[in-house]
Amino acid sequence: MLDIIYGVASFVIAAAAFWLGALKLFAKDKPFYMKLLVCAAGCFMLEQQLLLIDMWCGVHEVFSIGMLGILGCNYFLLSANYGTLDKVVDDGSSQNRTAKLLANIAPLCIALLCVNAFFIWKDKDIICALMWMLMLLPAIPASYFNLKHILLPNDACGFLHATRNCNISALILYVVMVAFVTCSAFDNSRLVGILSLLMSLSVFGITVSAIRGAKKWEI
Amino acid sequence: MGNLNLILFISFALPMIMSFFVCKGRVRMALIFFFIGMGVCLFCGELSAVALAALPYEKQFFSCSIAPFFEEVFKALPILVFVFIFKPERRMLYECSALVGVGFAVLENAFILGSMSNTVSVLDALMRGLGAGIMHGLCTLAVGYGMSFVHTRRKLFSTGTVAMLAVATVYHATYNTIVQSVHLWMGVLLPVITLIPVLILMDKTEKNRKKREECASDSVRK
Repeated sequence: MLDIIYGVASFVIAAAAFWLGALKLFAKDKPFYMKLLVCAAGCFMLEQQLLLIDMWCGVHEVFSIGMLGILGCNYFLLSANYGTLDKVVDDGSSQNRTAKLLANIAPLCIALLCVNAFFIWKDKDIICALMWMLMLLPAIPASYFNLKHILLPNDACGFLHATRNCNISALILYVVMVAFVTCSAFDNSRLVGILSLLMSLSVFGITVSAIRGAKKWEI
Repeated sequence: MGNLNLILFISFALPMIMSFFVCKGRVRMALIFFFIGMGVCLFCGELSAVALAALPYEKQFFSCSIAPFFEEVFKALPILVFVFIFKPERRMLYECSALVGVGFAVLENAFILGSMSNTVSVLDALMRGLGAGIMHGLCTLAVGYGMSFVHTRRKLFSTGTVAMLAVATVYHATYNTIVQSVHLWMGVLLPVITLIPVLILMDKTEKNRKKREECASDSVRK
C-alpha cells in the first residue's frame, strides 16, 4: 500500500512539473533551453507513469524498461547544458580556469557514487547493475556542465544567473538518482519511495526554475 | 498456415512495389517509407521469435520490456540513414518518420488480428488500429524529431536522438503493458490523447516557421 502512495505522489509531482512547463511552452514560444528542460521532466514523468502502471497491472519485476526514462531525462539535461547553454557562456578560452577545474568535482563524485551503486547491485543482479550504470552514465558529464555554470562568474547577458537554480536542482537530482538506484538494491520500499518522491521534487524544482529563468534568457 | 507475417508482407508489399514505378515525388517517398516500416516489422517479428526462444523470459515480460526497445531502435535506423544521406527538410523528415511507424503498425495489426481471425471482432480491429497505429507513428515521429538537429545543432543530435529513443521506448512499453492488462480501452485512449497536443504543437511550429520565412523574405525585399 505504501508503495502505491509513494508511486502516485511521485507521479503527480512529476506530471505537474511537466505539464506546468508544457503549458507555458504552448502559451508562448519559449527558449530552446527551457524546451529541453521540459522534455527532461516529460521523460521522467513517463518513467514514473510506467512504474505506476506496472504496479497497477501487477507486474513485479526487478528490471523495468521504465529505467530508460531516467536515461532520457539525463540526456535531455546534458543536451540543455552541453548543447545549448555552454556555447553561449564559454568561448573555450583559458579564462575562469579555476572554476572549470573545480567543476570536475561534480562528475568525480557522481562517478564514485555510481561505482558504489554498481558494486551493491552486482551481487544481486549483474544485468540490472550494468543497465543502471548505463542509465546513470549521462549524469556524469551533465553534472560537470551544471557545476561549471554555477561556478562561472555572471556573464553580461545574465544567462548564468537565470539558469543557476536550474543547475542546482539538476545537481540535487543526480545525487538523489544515484541514491535511489543504490537503495533499490535493498528491499526497503519506504526508502525507495521517499527517494522517488525527492527525485520528482527535484524535477519540479528544475521546471519551476526554468519558467522563472525563461523571462530573463533567450537561448 | 505458413509464416503468416511473411505471407501478409508479400501480399502488401508487391502491389506497393508496383506503385513505386507509377508514383513520383513525395507520394513515392511516402510509399517507400511505408514499405520500409512494414519491412522493419517483418524483421522485428522474426527477431522476436528467435529472441523469445533463446532468452529465459515469459512472453508478456518480453513484449512489455524488451521488444519495445529493439523495435524502436530498428524503426529509427532507416530514418538515420535517410537523414545522413539525403539531408531532408524538417517537414519531410517528420512525415517520413511517422510513415515508418504507420507501416510498422499496419503489418503488426494485420498479423495480430489475422492470427486470431476466429475470435476477432470489428471492435478489436478498431481498437488495435487506433491504439497501435497512432502509438507507432508517434514513437517514430519523436525519434525523427530528435534526428532533425543533425545538420543544424550537431551537439544536440546525438544526445537528443538517444533521449527521444528513450522516450519512445518507455511510451511504447507503457502502451504494451496497458494493452496486455484487463484495462485494454485505456491503452487505446493513451495514444489518442497524446496525439492531440502533438498535432497542435506541429501546427503551431509550422505556422511559426511560415511567419519567420515571410519576415525573412520581407526584409530581403526591403
